[in-house]
Amino acid sequence: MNGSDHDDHQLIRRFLEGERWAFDALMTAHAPQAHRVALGMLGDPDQADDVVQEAFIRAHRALPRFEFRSRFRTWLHRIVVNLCLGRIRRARRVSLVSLGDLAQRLRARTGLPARELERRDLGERIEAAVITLPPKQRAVFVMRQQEGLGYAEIASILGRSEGGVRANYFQALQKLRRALAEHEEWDDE
Amino acid sequence: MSRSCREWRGPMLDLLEGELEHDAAAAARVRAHLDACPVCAAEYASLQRTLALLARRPLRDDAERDWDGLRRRVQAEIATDPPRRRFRPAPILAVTAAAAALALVLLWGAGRLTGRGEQRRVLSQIEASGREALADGRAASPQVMDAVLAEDYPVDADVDQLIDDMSADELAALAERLEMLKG
Ligand SMILES: [Zn+2]
Repeated sequence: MNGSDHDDHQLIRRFLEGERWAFDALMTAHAPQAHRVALGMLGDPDQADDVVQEAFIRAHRALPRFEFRSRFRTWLHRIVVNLCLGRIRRARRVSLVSLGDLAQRLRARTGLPARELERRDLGERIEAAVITLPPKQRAVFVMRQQEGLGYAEIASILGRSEGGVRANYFQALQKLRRALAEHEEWDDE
Repeated sequence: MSRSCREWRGPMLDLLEGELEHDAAAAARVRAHLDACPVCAAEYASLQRTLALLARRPLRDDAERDWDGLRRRVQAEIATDPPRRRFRPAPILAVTAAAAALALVLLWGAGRLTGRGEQRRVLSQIEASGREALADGRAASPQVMDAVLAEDYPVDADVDQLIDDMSADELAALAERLEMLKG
Protein backbone atom coordinates (compact mmCIF):
# COMPACT_ATOMS: atom_id res chain seq x y z
CA MET A 1 0.00 0.00 0.00
CA ASN A 2 1.41 3.40 -0.88
CA GLY A 3 0.39 6.84 0.26
CA SER A 4 -2.46 7.36 -2.15
CA ASP A 5 -3.97 4.01 -1.19
CA HIS A 6 -3.79 5.10 2.42
CA ASP A 7 -5.54 8.34 1.43
CA ASP A 8 -8.20 6.34 -0.41
CA HIS A 9 -8.85 4.23 2.65
CA GLN A 10 -9.13 7.38 4.77
CA LEU A 11 -11.63 8.81 2.30
CA ILE A 12 -13.67 5.61 2.38
CA ARG A 13 -13.76 5.74 6.19
CA ARG A 14 -14.92 9.36 6.11
CA PHE A 15 -17.57 8.46 3.54
CA LEU A 16 -18.77 5.58 5.69
CA GLU A 17 -19.00 8.01 8.61
CA GLY A 18 -21.49 9.99 6.55
CA GLU A 19 -19.32 12.63 4.92
CA ARG A 20 -20.55 12.86 1.37
CA TRP A 21 -17.68 15.00 0.07
CA ALA A 22 -15.36 12.05 0.60
CA PHE A 23 -17.01 10.06 -2.15
CA ASP A 24 -16.66 13.05 -4.44
CA ALA A 25 -12.97 13.12 -3.65
CA LEU A 26 -12.66 9.44 -4.57
CA MET A 27 -14.32 10.18 -7.90
CA THR A 28 -12.00 13.09 -8.56
CA ALA A 29 -8.99 10.93 -7.85
CA HIS A 30 -10.01 7.89 -9.86
CA ALA A 31 -12.39 8.93 -12.65
CA PRO A 32 -9.68 9.82 -15.20
CA GLN A 33 -7.87 6.49 -14.99
CA ALA A 34 -11.15 4.54 -14.89
CA HIS A 35 -12.19 6.44 -17.99
CA ARG A 36 -8.94 5.70 -19.82
CA VAL A 37 -9.31 1.98 -19.11
CA ALA A 38 -12.94 1.95 -20.25
CA LEU A 39 -12.04 3.96 -23.34
CA GLY A 40 -9.20 1.58 -24.17
CA MET A 41 -11.57 -1.36 -23.91
CA LEU A 42 -14.60 0.15 -25.64
CA GLY A 43 -13.01 2.65 -28.02
CA ASP A 44 -15.80 5.14 -27.50
CA PRO A 45 -15.57 8.11 -25.11
CA ASP A 46 -19.30 8.36 -24.47
CA GLN A 47 -19.64 4.67 -23.71
CA ALA A 48 -16.63 5.02 -21.44
CA ASP A 49 -18.44 7.89 -19.68
CA ASP A 50 -21.47 5.68 -19.14
CA VAL A 51 -19.34 2.89 -17.74
CA VAL A 52 -17.47 5.15 -15.33
CA GLN A 53 -20.72 6.69 -14.15
CA GLU A 54 -22.26 3.26 -13.60
CA ALA A 55 -19.10 2.01 -11.90
CA PHE A 56 -19.17 4.81 -9.34
CA ILE A 57 -22.87 4.29 -8.69
CA ARG A 58 -22.16 0.62 -8.01
CA ALA A 59 -19.12 1.50 -5.94
CA HIS A 60 -21.27 3.81 -3.86
CA ARG A 61 -23.73 1.00 -3.20
CA ALA A 62 -21.05 -1.52 -2.37
CA LEU A 63 -18.61 0.58 -0.36
CA PRO A 64 -20.14 -0.44 2.98
CA ARG A 65 -18.81 -3.90 2.18
CA PHE A 66 -15.37 -2.69 1.07
CA GLU A 67 -12.61 -4.74 2.64
CA PHE A 68 -9.72 -2.60 3.61
CA ARG A 69 -7.25 -5.31 2.70
CA SER A 70 -7.35 -4.33 -0.97
CA ARG A 71 -6.69 -1.11 -2.82
CA PHE A 72 -9.65 1.00 -3.82
CA ARG A 73 -8.21 1.28 -7.33
CA THR A 74 -8.11 -2.51 -7.75
CA TRP A 75 -11.66 -2.80 -6.49
CA LEU A 76 -12.94 0.00 -8.74
CA HIS A 77 -11.14 -1.33 -11.79
CA ARG A 78 -12.73 -4.71 -11.25
CA ILE A 79 -16.13 -3.03 -11.52
CA VAL A 80 -15.10 -0.98 -14.56
CA VAL A 81 -13.57 -3.92 -16.43
CA ASN A 82 -16.54 -6.16 -15.69
CA LEU A 83 -18.95 -3.50 -16.91
CA CYS A 84 -16.92 -3.18 -20.12
CA LEU A 85 -16.79 -6.95 -20.62
CA GLY A 86 -20.53 -7.08 -19.97
CA ARG A 87 -21.19 -4.49 -22.66
CA ILE A 88 -19.01 -6.31 -25.16
CA ARG A 89 -20.61 -9.63 -24.27
CA ARG A 90 -24.14 -8.29 -24.60
CA ALA A 91 -23.32 -6.81 -27.97
CA ARG A 92 -22.08 -10.23 -29.07
CA ARG A 93 -24.79 -12.26 -27.39
CA VAL A 94 -27.40 -10.56 -29.54
CA SER A 95 -25.62 -12.28 -32.40
CA LEU A 96 -25.94 -15.68 -30.81
CA VAL A 97 -29.65 -15.85 -30.26
CA SER A 98 -30.55 -17.82 -33.36
CA LEU A 99 -28.58 -19.80 -35.86
CA GLY A 100 -30.49 -18.18 -38.70
CA ASP A 101 -29.60 -14.62 -37.80
CA LEU A 102 -26.15 -15.29 -36.54
CA ALA A 103 -24.08 -15.18 -39.69
CA GLN A 104 -25.68 -11.98 -40.90
CA ARG A 105 -25.39 -10.22 -37.59
CA LEU A 106 -21.81 -11.26 -37.06
CA ARG A 107 -20.99 -10.04 -40.52
CA ALA A 108 -22.41 -6.63 -39.71
CA ARG A 109 -19.99 -6.38 -36.80
CA THR A 110 -16.89 -7.34 -38.73
CA GLY A 111 -14.75 -5.79 -41.39
CA LEU A 112 -14.61 -2.53 -39.52
CA PRO A 113 -11.34 -3.00 -37.66
CA ALA A 114 -9.30 -3.69 -40.78
CA ARG A 115 -10.62 -0.59 -42.46
CA GLU A 116 -10.02 1.46 -39.37
CA LEU A 117 -6.39 0.51 -39.52
CA GLU A 118 -6.11 2.72 -42.58
CA ARG A 119 -6.31 5.74 -40.36
CA ARG A 120 -3.03 7.48 -40.52
CA ASP A 121 -2.33 8.75 -37.07
CA LEU A 122 -0.23 6.36 -34.97
CA GLY A 123 -2.38 6.74 -31.87
CA GLU A 124 -5.57 6.09 -33.79
CA ARG A 125 -4.05 3.14 -35.62
CA ILE A 126 -2.96 1.55 -32.39
CA GLU A 127 -6.33 2.27 -30.81
CA ALA A 128 -8.05 0.59 -33.74
CA ALA A 129 -5.74 -2.41 -33.49
CA VAL A 130 -6.36 -2.69 -29.76
CA ILE A 131 -10.11 -2.84 -30.39
CA THR A 132 -9.59 -5.95 -32.54
CA LEU A 133 -8.05 -7.82 -29.59
CA PRO A 134 -10.26 -10.31 -27.78
CA PRO A 135 -11.89 -8.40 -24.90
CA LYS A 136 -9.94 -9.85 -21.99
CA GLN A 137 -6.63 -9.49 -23.80
CA ARG A 138 -7.72 -5.93 -24.48
CA ALA A 139 -8.31 -5.38 -20.77
CA VAL A 140 -4.88 -6.80 -19.91
CA PHE A 141 -3.18 -4.74 -22.58
CA VAL A 142 -4.81 -1.46 -21.57
CA MET A 143 -4.10 -1.92 -17.88
CA ARG A 144 -0.53 -3.09 -18.42
CA GLN A 145 0.86 -1.15 -21.36
CA GLN A 146 -1.25 1.97 -21.12
CA GLU A 147 -1.78 2.31 -17.38
CA GLY A 148 1.32 0.51 -16.11
CA LEU A 149 -0.47 -1.66 -13.55
CA GLY A 150 1.44 -4.63 -12.14
CA TYR A 151 0.62 -8.21 -13.15
CA ALA A 152 -0.50 -9.06 -9.62
CA GLU A 153 -3.03 -6.22 -9.54
CA ILE A 154 -4.34 -7.02 -13.03
CA ALA A 155 -4.67 -10.67 -12.04
CA SER A 156 -6.66 -9.62 -9.01
CA ILE A 157 -8.89 -7.34 -11.09
CA LEU A 158 -9.61 -10.04 -13.67
CA GLY A 159 -9.74 -13.01 -11.33
CA ARG A 160 -7.02 -14.78 -13.30
CA SER A 161 -3.60 -16.10 -12.41
CA GLU A 162 -0.59 -13.86 -12.84
CA GLY A 163 0.82 -16.36 -15.32
CA GLY A 164 -2.40 -16.25 -17.31
CA VAL A 165 -2.34 -12.45 -17.38
CA ARG A 166 1.25 -12.45 -18.56
CA ALA A 167 0.42 -14.95 -21.30
CA ASN A 168 -2.52 -12.73 -22.32
CA TYR A 169 -0.27 -9.71 -22.50
CA PHE A 170 2.29 -11.56 -24.57
CA GLN A 171 -0.39 -12.67 -27.01
CA ALA A 172 -1.86 -9.19 -27.19
CA LEU A 173 1.57 -7.82 -28.11
CA GLN A 174 2.02 -10.48 -30.77
CA LYS A 175 -1.35 -9.68 -32.30
CA LEU A 176 -0.72 -5.95 -32.22
CA ARG A 177 2.65 -6.50 -33.84
CA ARG A 178 0.97 -8.34 -36.70
CA ALA A 179 -1.84 -5.80 -36.97
CA LEU A 180 0.54 -2.85 -37.02
CA ALA A 181 3.32 -4.37 -39.11
CA GLU A 182 1.28 -4.03 -42.30
CA HIS A 183 0.82 -0.34 -41.70
CA GLU A 184 4.04 0.75 -40.16
CA GLU A 185 7.34 1.33 -41.87
CA TRP A 186 9.82 0.26 -39.23
CA ASP A 187 12.15 3.04 -40.16
CA ASP A 188 12.49 4.77 -36.87
CA GLU A 189 15.41 2.99 -35.28
CA MET B 1 7.80 -22.06 -31.23
CA SER B 2 8.37 -25.17 -29.17
CA ARG B 3 6.79 -25.95 -25.83
CA SER B 4 9.95 -25.06 -23.96
CA CYS B 5 10.29 -21.78 -25.84
CA ARG B 6 6.74 -20.96 -24.80
CA GLU B 7 7.94 -21.10 -21.22
CA TRP B 8 10.48 -18.38 -21.95
CA ARG B 9 7.77 -15.90 -22.93
CA GLY B 10 7.16 -14.65 -19.40
CA PRO B 11 10.84 -14.20 -18.54
CA MET B 12 11.41 -12.51 -21.93
CA LEU B 13 8.66 -10.03 -21.15
CA ASP B 14 10.13 -9.42 -17.71
CA LEU B 15 13.50 -8.68 -19.24
CA LEU B 16 11.96 -6.37 -21.86
CA GLU B 17 9.96 -4.50 -19.27
CA GLY B 18 12.92 -4.05 -16.95
CA GLU B 19 11.44 -6.26 -14.26
CA LEU B 20 14.66 -8.24 -13.92
CA GLU B 21 16.83 -5.26 -13.07
CA HIS B 22 17.32 -6.56 -9.56
CA ASP B 23 17.59 -10.21 -10.49
CA ALA B 24 20.83 -10.55 -12.43
CA ALA B 25 20.73 -14.35 -12.35
CA ALA B 26 17.27 -14.51 -13.92
CA ALA B 27 18.25 -11.93 -16.52
CA ALA B 28 21.37 -13.97 -17.37
CA ARG B 29 19.27 -17.11 -17.83
CA VAL B 30 16.99 -15.35 -20.30
CA ARG B 31 19.94 -13.90 -22.20
CA ALA B 32 21.58 -17.32 -22.35
CA HIS B 33 18.44 -18.77 -23.94
CA LEU B 34 18.24 -15.86 -26.39
CA ASP B 35 21.86 -16.47 -27.37
CA ALA B 36 21.16 -20.13 -27.96
CA CYS B 37 17.73 -19.89 -29.58
CA PRO B 38 17.27 -17.90 -32.79
CA VAL B 39 13.48 -18.29 -32.62
CA CYS B 40 13.23 -16.61 -29.24
CA ALA B 41 15.89 -14.07 -30.16
CA ALA B 42 13.84 -12.99 -33.17
CA GLU B 43 10.70 -12.92 -31.07
CA TYR B 44 12.45 -10.82 -28.46
CA ALA B 45 13.76 -8.28 -30.97
CA SER B 46 10.41 -7.98 -32.60
CA LEU B 47 8.54 -7.55 -29.32
CA GLN B 48 11.05 -4.93 -28.33
CA ARG B 49 10.19 -2.94 -31.45
CA THR B 50 6.48 -3.39 -30.86
CA LEU B 51 6.77 -2.13 -27.28
CA ALA B 52 8.84 0.84 -28.44
CA LEU B 53 6.22 1.69 -31.05
CA LEU B 54 3.41 1.37 -28.53
CA ALA B 55 5.27 3.55 -26.04
CA ARG B 56 5.37 6.32 -28.65
CA ARG B 57 1.67 6.46 -29.12
CA PRO B 58 -0.09 9.56 -27.96
CA LEU B 59 -2.93 8.86 -25.56
CA ARG B 60 -6.19 10.68 -26.01
CA ASP B 61 -6.16 13.82 -23.97
CA ASP B 62 -8.88 13.55 -21.37
CA ALA B 63 -7.91 16.68 -19.44
CA GLU B 64 -10.82 18.56 -20.95
CA ARG B 65 -13.45 15.96 -20.27
CA ASP B 66 -16.32 17.15 -18.17
CA TRP B 67 -15.39 15.46 -14.89
CA ASP B 68 -17.60 17.88 -12.95
CA GLY B 69 -20.54 16.83 -15.06
CA LEU B 70 -19.74 13.19 -14.45
CA ARG B 71 -19.54 13.74 -10.70
CA ARG B 72 -22.82 15.66 -10.73
CA ARG B 73 -24.59 12.88 -12.62
CA VAL B 74 -23.30 10.28 -10.21
CA GLN B 75 -24.24 12.41 -7.19
CA ALA B 76 -27.73 12.91 -8.61
CA GLU B 77 -28.14 9.15 -9.01
CA ILE B 78 -26.82 8.19 -5.62
CA ALA B 79 -28.87 10.84 -3.83
CA THR B 80 -31.85 8.55 -4.38
CA ASP B 81 -29.87 5.33 -4.15
CA PRO B 82 -28.67 4.52 -0.66
CA PRO B 83 -25.85 1.95 -0.37
CA ARG B 84 -27.28 -1.55 -0.52
CA ARG B 85 -26.89 -4.89 -2.18
CA ARG B 86 -28.92 -5.41 -5.29
CA PHE B 87 -29.57 -8.85 -6.65
CA ARG B 88 -29.95 -9.36 -10.37
CA PRO B 89 -30.73 -12.85 -11.62
CA ALA B 90 -28.96 -13.88 -14.80
CA PRO B 91 -31.27 -14.11 -17.80
CA ILE B 92 -32.27 -17.64 -18.77
CA LEU B 93 -31.42 -16.80 -22.36
CA ALA B 94 -27.76 -16.79 -21.39
CA VAL B 95 -27.74 -20.53 -20.79
CA THR B 96 -29.17 -21.33 -24.19
CA ALA B 97 -26.91 -18.87 -25.90
CA ALA B 98 -23.89 -20.36 -24.18
CA ALA B 99 -24.81 -23.88 -25.27
CA ALA B 100 -25.41 -22.69 -28.82
CA ALA B 101 -22.14 -20.82 -28.79
CA LEU B 102 -20.17 -23.88 -27.73
CA ALA B 103 -21.77 -25.86 -30.50
CA LEU B 104 -21.00 -23.13 -32.99
CA VAL B 105 -17.38 -22.82 -32.01
CA LEU B 106 -16.90 -26.55 -32.28
CA LEU B 107 -18.85 -26.85 -35.51
CA TRP B 108 -16.80 -24.10 -36.97
CA GLY B 109 -13.65 -25.90 -35.99
CA ALA B 110 -14.78 -29.25 -37.29
CA GLY B 111 -14.31 -27.78 -40.74
CA ARG B 112 -15.69 -30.53 -42.93
CA LEU B 113 -19.35 -30.61 -41.96
CA THR B 114 -21.96 -30.28 -44.67
CA GLY B 115 -25.17 -32.22 -44.18
CA ARG B 116 -27.73 -31.70 -41.45
CA GLY B 117 -27.31 -35.26 -40.26
CA GLU B 118 -23.64 -34.69 -39.77
CA GLN B 119 -24.41 -31.46 -37.94
CA ARG B 120 -26.76 -33.24 -35.55
CA ARG B 121 -24.25 -36.00 -34.96
CA VAL B 122 -21.59 -33.51 -34.02
CA LEU B 123 -24.00 -31.57 -31.84
CA SER B 124 -24.85 -34.64 -29.81
CA GLN B 125 -21.20 -35.51 -29.61
CA ILE B 126 -20.54 -32.07 -28.25
CA GLU B 127 -23.26 -32.43 -25.67
CA ALA B 128 -21.72 -35.67 -24.54
CA SER B 129 -18.12 -34.63 -24.48
CA GLY B 130 -17.83 -30.97 -25.38
CA ARG B 131 -15.50 -30.11 -22.58
CA GLU B 132 -13.22 -33.08 -23.19
CA ALA B 133 -13.15 -32.32 -26.88
CA LEU B 134 -12.18 -28.77 -26.10
CA ALA B 135 -9.58 -29.88 -23.64
CA ASP B 136 -7.74 -32.26 -25.92
CA GLY B 137 -8.23 -30.35 -29.13
CA ARG B 138 -10.07 -32.90 -31.24
CA ALA B 139 -12.99 -30.70 -32.19
CA ALA B 140 -12.01 -27.07 -32.23
CA SER B 141 -10.04 -25.22 -34.87
CA PRO B 142 -6.29 -24.81 -34.43
CA GLN B 143 -6.71 -21.09 -33.83
CA VAL B 144 -9.30 -21.53 -31.13
CA MET B 145 -7.41 -24.40 -29.55
CA ASP B 146 -4.22 -22.42 -29.52
CA ALA B 147 -6.04 -19.63 -27.77
CA VAL B 148 -7.57 -22.05 -25.29
CA LEU B 149 -4.30 -23.75 -24.46
CA ALA B 150 -2.06 -20.74 -24.47
CA GLU B 151 -4.31 -18.47 -22.46
CA ASP B 152 -4.35 -20.65 -19.41
CA TYR B 153 -8.03 -21.41 -19.48
CA PRO B 154 -9.31 -23.44 -16.60
CA VAL B 155 -10.33 -26.92 -17.72
CA ASP B 156 -13.98 -26.00 -17.28
CA ALA B 157 -13.50 -23.00 -19.53
CA ASP B 158 -16.75 -21.20 -19.85
CA VAL B 159 -18.15 -20.86 -23.33
CA ASP B 160 -18.87 -17.19 -22.79
CA GLN B 161 -15.21 -16.76 -22.04
CA LEU B 162 -14.30 -18.51 -25.24
CA ILE B 163 -16.61 -16.27 -27.24
CA ASP B 164 -15.41 -13.20 -25.38
CA ASP B 165 -11.89 -14.03 -26.32
CA MET B 166 -12.56 -14.49 -30.01
CA SER B 167 -11.29 -11.67 -32.18
CA ALA B 168 -13.34 -9.90 -34.82
CA ASP B 169 -11.60 -11.99 -37.47
CA GLU B 170 -12.45 -15.23 -35.72
CA LEU B 171 -16.06 -14.13 -35.40
CA ALA B 172 -16.10 -13.33 -39.10
CA ALA B 173 -14.74 -16.77 -39.94
CA LEU B 174 -17.36 -18.30 -37.68
CA ALA B 175 -20.09 -16.34 -39.44
CA GLU B 176 -18.86 -17.54 -42.80
CA ARG B 177 -18.75 -21.13 -41.63
CA LEU B 178 -22.33 -20.86 -40.43
CA GLU B 179 -23.53 -19.51 -43.72
CA MET B 180 -21.98 -22.53 -45.42
CA LEU B 181 -23.68 -24.85 -42.95
CA LYS B 182 -27.03 -23.24 -43.59
CA GLY B 183 -26.61 -23.44 -47.34
ZN1 LIG C 1 13.56 -20.46 -27.54
